[in-house]
Amino acid sequence: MHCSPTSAAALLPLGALLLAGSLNVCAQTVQDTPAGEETKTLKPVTISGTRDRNSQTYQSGVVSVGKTQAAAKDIPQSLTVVTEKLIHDEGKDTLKGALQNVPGITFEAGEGGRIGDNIRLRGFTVAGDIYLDGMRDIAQYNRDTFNLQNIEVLRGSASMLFGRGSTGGVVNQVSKQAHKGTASEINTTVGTGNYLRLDGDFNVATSEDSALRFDLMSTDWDGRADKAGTHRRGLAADYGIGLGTTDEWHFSVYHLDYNDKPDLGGRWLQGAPAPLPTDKWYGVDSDYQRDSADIATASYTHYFDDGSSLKTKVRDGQYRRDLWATQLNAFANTVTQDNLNGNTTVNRGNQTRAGEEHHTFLQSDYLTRGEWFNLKQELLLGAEYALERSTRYTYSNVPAKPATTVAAASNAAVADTRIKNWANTFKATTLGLYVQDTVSLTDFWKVVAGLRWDQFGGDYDRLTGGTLSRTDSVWSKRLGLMYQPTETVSYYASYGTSFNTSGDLYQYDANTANTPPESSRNIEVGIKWELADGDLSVRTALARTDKYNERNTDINQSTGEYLLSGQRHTDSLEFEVQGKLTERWEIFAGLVFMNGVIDQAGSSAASQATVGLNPGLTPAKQANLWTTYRLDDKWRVGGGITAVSENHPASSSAASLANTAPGYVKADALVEYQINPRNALKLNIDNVGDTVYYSSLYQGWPSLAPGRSVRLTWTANL
Amino acid sequence: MLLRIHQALTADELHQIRHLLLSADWVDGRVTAGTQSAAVKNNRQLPEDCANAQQARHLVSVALARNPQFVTGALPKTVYPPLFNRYGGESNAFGDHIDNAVRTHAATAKHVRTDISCTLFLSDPDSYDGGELVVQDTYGEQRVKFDAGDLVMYPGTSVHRVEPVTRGERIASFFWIESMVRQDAQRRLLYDMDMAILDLRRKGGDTAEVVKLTGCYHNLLRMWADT
Repeated sequence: MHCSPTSAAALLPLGALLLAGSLNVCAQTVQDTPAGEETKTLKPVTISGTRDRNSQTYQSGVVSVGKTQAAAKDIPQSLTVVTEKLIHDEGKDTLKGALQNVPGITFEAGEGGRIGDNIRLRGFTVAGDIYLDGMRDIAQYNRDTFNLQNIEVLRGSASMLFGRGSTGGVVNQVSKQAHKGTASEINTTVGTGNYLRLDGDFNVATSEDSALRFDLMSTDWDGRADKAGTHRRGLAADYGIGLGTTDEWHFSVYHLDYNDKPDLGGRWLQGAPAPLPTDKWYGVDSDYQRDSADIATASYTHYFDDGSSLKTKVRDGQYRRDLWATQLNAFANTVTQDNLNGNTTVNRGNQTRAGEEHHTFLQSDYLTRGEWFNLKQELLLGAEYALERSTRYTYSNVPAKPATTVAAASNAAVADTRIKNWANTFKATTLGLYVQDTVSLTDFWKVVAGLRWDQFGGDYDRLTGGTLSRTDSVWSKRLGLMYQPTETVSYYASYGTSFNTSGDLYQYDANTANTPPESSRNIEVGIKWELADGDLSVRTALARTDKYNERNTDINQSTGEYLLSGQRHTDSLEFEVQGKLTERWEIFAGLVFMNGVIDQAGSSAASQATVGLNPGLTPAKQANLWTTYRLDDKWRVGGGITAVSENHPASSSAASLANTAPGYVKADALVEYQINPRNALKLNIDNVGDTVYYSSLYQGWPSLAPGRSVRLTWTANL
Repeated sequence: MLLRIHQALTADELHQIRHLLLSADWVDGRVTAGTQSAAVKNNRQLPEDCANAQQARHLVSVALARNPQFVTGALPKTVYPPLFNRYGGESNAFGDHIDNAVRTHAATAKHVRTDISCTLFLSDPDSYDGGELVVQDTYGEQRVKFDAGDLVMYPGTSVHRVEPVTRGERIASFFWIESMVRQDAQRRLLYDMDMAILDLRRKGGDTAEVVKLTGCYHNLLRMWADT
């Protein structure tokens, strides 16, 4: 070369040489419009959870029910998320109340056998499929909403993700978690029936990436006839360390206790609810239901440099329950729907049980993304270990409850002469290992395939009958295919299986201990749309949930009665819409058509008589609508309806299945006034028309739902 | 043209800016946004008049002025003072949009035509998931998530969005440039030519051909530039 190259460091681009030092930046003292005024074309997915409730919606774009954070439309199964905003707007203070927004859910009235939240989904029990932050929360208690962020309801068999159970689906409660920054909210509600609820939610930053969130709740209500009420207290705290960093820790504790007077409701009479006055309660003042839950959870998530994450959670939960309630016994044979009057004798009996549960869980999920075999894939590897211990007690020497009359409704207390006896102890261990892969075949086609192996072992020790033991090893499968030709639509078809072992909900007897697990499967096709630039989610699904080789012990009876023996299925067609119709108009609505049928039953004549019948708690039609409209900056109005067609209690007898609770439509209303950005007043009127309806049914009786209530809430943001 | 500028900030500047930003009080982007933009906007921003923002803005401006690649790529006439935003937690995304064509500086009433949009990444990409800047470039969709201290420039005419941040936080500075050369295609030609000439000079020094090409560059710039 005839000339040596100039040193690279000295060379500059021509443009830079030309303009060196000439950068003209506008003056630094800016009072400019913020960068929010760009032209709008599409909207982002909104994740609810911000304290600025006005910016929240009824839509939750991201859900955690599939073990990983995922967009709702990427889950090939029916899914409903009840958001904190909806729970708040409707003034729902119990899990059961909040779940009335979910079509396909029905409630079984509790007796003494299994108490607490008794939920059915597509007609199948989910008593064993209630989750709290992805871990089983199956103890028998009534859950409050004070520490809930979202409630996720995934329909259809999902043992691949959750292990045993989940025939009709799962209900996952998502707790409020510590987040960065400081924000607090206090809700004070007063209402009819001396309702008083205080709920304080505080998030305090303790450093740049750590925070403590605590939530306190106190609720009192006099209930029906100002007698059957509730007194609940709750405390929850979550301390988060390393928030938003590669090593995130959460330590949380939860405590809930309550002292209620249970309202077990009325009685079936000639195939329908007895026409008892709604303002009378037939319990006695010594009745009670005292339950408590104490849960401690630690979780640790590590995010690897390659984008993978490993999340490990450990939980210890202790639960206590003690119930002494009054149930209505059958009326005299001469009493009919027509001649029941104020002088009719009301016979009363006892439900009294107690128990303790102690659950320990360890769960670990590893999630990684990558491109293998030239295909984009998302791989989930997980393991779960569970140790569940349960002790039950019975009471002997229970004093009889004196009869009363329809009009007199004596509530005089009964002296407690009961003697508490140990009845049985159950210990179950679960070991589950699972793998799931989500493969993007092309830009439009995705496949989800998963496999889980569970070993479930149970030991049962009984006061009478000695010990029983059983171990099962079961495989569960999940397969889904999604076609997403655009960002706004997802067509899917999916197949999932589930199983229920005999010891599932701690009910072994000599027969069930010898019975292999039941099997179920769910086949579903559906469409999920994201309309109005993503502000509105609409979905529809057609599903068949099939439980074959069914054992199905009635979990509400300790005598081990078999409800069904054989096979049953539910076909359902669902429609749901959630989100914003316009900037001011929000909606959360659903409609389901269900057809539940008993396909096969035991060989006895009584069992055969149930074939072809609806298995109960599977109403043919259910609809719910909740909508709000913002009139201006200050005022917002809203309301909704819940409609359920006629319904029957779940039962093993054709006679009991013939008991019919009439269909109903009940309406609720909301008016909200925003005093200033930090304070709001909200008036809820529940059951505006004071409609008489039965929201939970048991083969022994239908349970009357509360009448009209008015509640005023002051929300203060600190 | 979508252009990446590696290490527009030094490690020290990055550290200083991050400290200034993290110790400031941020507000929800919607607090000050209008009704329509509130619907699309879901992030947090730094109040522009706060002292920390002004110091951070100054550091960014100084760094840009001394960066040859930035200057040659943008051929800047006026740079709008850098702004800062923060995505994470519940405020984590910004849907598809096109930036306003002209931004008026409130204090000086000076108009800036937004020929070029810039994002200066201030968070380590490993510290957050999601948060990609997705730009519909003339050559299709580009997903951008660069190292802290790196800058991306792209035509203001592009539809772009910020994907939801699902973990961690994405802090960035963003601003606009009115270029002396209004058309993106012309800027691209000039930039490519400039870089080619630079390579030729590195390899062979200032040959006669290089001088001739340099002349072409300047004459093109003379033809297109609006000073």
